[in-house]
Amino acid sequence: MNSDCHRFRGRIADFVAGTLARRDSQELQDHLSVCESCRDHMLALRQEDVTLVQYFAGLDKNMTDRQERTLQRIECFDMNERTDTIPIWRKIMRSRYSRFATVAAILVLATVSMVVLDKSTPSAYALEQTVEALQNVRHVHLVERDDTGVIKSERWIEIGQDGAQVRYRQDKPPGLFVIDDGRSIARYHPYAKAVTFRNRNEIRYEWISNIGRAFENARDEGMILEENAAYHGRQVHKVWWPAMRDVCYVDPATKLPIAIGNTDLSYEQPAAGTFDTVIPGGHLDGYTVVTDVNESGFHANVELIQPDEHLAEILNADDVITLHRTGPYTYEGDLDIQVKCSTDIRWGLFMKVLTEPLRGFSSCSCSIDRWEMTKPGGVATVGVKLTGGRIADTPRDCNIGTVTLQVERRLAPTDDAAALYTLGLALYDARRYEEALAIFQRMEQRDNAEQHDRANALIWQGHMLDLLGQRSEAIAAYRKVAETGLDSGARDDRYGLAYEYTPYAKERMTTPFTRVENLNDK
Amino acid sequence: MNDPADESVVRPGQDGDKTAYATLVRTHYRRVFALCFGMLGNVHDAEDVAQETLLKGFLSLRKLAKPERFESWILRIAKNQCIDLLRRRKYHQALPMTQEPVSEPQPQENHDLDAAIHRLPQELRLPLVLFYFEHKDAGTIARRLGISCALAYERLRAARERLHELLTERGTHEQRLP
Repeated sequence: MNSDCHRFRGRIADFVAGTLARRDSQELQDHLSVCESCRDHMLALRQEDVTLVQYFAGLDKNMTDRQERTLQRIECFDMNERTDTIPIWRKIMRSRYSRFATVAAILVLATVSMVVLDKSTPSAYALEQTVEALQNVRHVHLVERDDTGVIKSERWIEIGQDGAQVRYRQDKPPGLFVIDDGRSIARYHPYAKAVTFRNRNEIRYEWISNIGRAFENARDEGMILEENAAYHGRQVHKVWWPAMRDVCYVDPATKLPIAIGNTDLSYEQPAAGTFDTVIPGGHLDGYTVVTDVNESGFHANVELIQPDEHLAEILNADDVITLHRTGPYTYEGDLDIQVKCSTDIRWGLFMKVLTEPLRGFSSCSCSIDRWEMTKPGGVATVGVKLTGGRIADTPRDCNIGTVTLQVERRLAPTDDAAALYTLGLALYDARRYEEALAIFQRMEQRDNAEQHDRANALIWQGHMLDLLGQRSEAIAAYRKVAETGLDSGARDDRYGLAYEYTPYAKERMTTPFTRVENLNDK
Repeated sequence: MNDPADESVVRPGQDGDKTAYATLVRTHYRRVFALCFGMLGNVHDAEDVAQETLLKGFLSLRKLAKPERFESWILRIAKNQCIDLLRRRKYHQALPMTQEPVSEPQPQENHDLDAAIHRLPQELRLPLVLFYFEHKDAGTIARRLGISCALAYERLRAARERLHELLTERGTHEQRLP
């Protein structure tokens, strides 16, 4: 990338889409002919452009079906359900005479109203009455409908003495079925046939916060729009409820709201069991209960495409592991997948997440990013954490969670004494003495190696040489340590070894090292 | 977006002629869908909201005072429906769509591109959809979105560059196992 690239990069996207001016195009093409980096960028964008064209063309394939589904839905509608009566104001505005007549009528009414109000006639109804009436309400049943009369949502709420929501149930819209029994919140997922239980501190479902006190602001900020008005064949007081920014219809007898906007309210005691979070039979049969979304109960639904033995090969090949989720679930909350890998690899292995999951989860991370040394043929477990997923709410959401990990094999860093020491001992454990010797030699020969690291490396070189039967070379290694006169030492409990470098080196010069086993391997 | 052709169909539709309204649906469905997709970034949501929009349009067609402006009227309803949905999602994170989805074979499964388009900010996604799906030029996009032509170009460019970032950061070019 050269200094010109920054100037041209911004134009490449336009060039690919054919929206770049001709003069700029020529200049860009001249640059592309000499700049490989920008050319690569252009080719990548061009490939994406082709993909985009194909993608959007693909959307068109089902357009007719989509249209037909819409038409079928419209066809199902009864014309009598239409709500689009022509507004009265439009009828009035159609005629000059009706416009004048209306203005005149409004003026007369306004005058009469002023006279009436001037006499300070007390209102028969006060908002305070509704505030007080609501304080005694313990149960609310809410049914919200859309403009066509179809129920959009249905809720039952139990209210405590303090006005706070105690228990809650919501049955609609389809796919949303929640019961808050006052202890925990059960969320039923009809498509996934699963139910999760969540702590009430983590999530709350409610219609409006602090429902028992919600109407109080109407006392000061609300407004009586009309008393004794008609509403669906009933007599009501129409009230503007500022908190809901909607019109509220109050029953003159009980002083309780019977509707707010498109939501009907009633205050009957709900049927027994309304707030019970048991799994009923019937259409909820066969549900999987997920008692705690953070526990491992869900692991059964996660399968590896590759069996364990295949994973070992993949690890060796620096390849990719794809974890594929099966079953009708994505996941709500965090999910730990345990990936068990058998390996005899003695190198430092690093595992990293290659991609985020495609769909169903917002992020994915590994609990460790570095492979821990294991015994030959041993099993290492790597936790993979998926977050931000959710249980499928539609059939479409099922079977789509995929996580891709890349396992990368790398040699332990050559400038890290501890890594080389660990690696050398791992090879020693595996009785691969020549390879271990090479590692301890690298540990000794590092630039700026500490004196005690070098001494330790020489001691272990001596050990390896003794085990390889090269006694004279072993003595030479021990001698180098003995000549330093170091008064420090080393300790490694895994092998039951604790020594001071100088005396230990002198001892080994007379007595060859014999193998000691790694106590952790027993 | 005045279309006298619409006027002759809207009038019977206002009187409840479903056949006439079906003509309007067939004429405008794709555009309504495109707007919904541009705003929501998800094919299935777009289909659901487009359907709701056209149903709502049918139910309140008599309120349309200027039949020749049907298209801008129905697009405005679609826009409001999308805003409503996004707002509801904001408040109720787990709230699903009300319409039960119809399972259908996907024309092509391209989850990376799906996800990348979904992750684009709405202000970039809309011009992208208008450009690639509706094949509109920058001038038309600018008029549709009520922005300057230069800004339409700028957003198209930014959309493609952001998309490139999203696609490459997600490793789409790596080969996946099935």
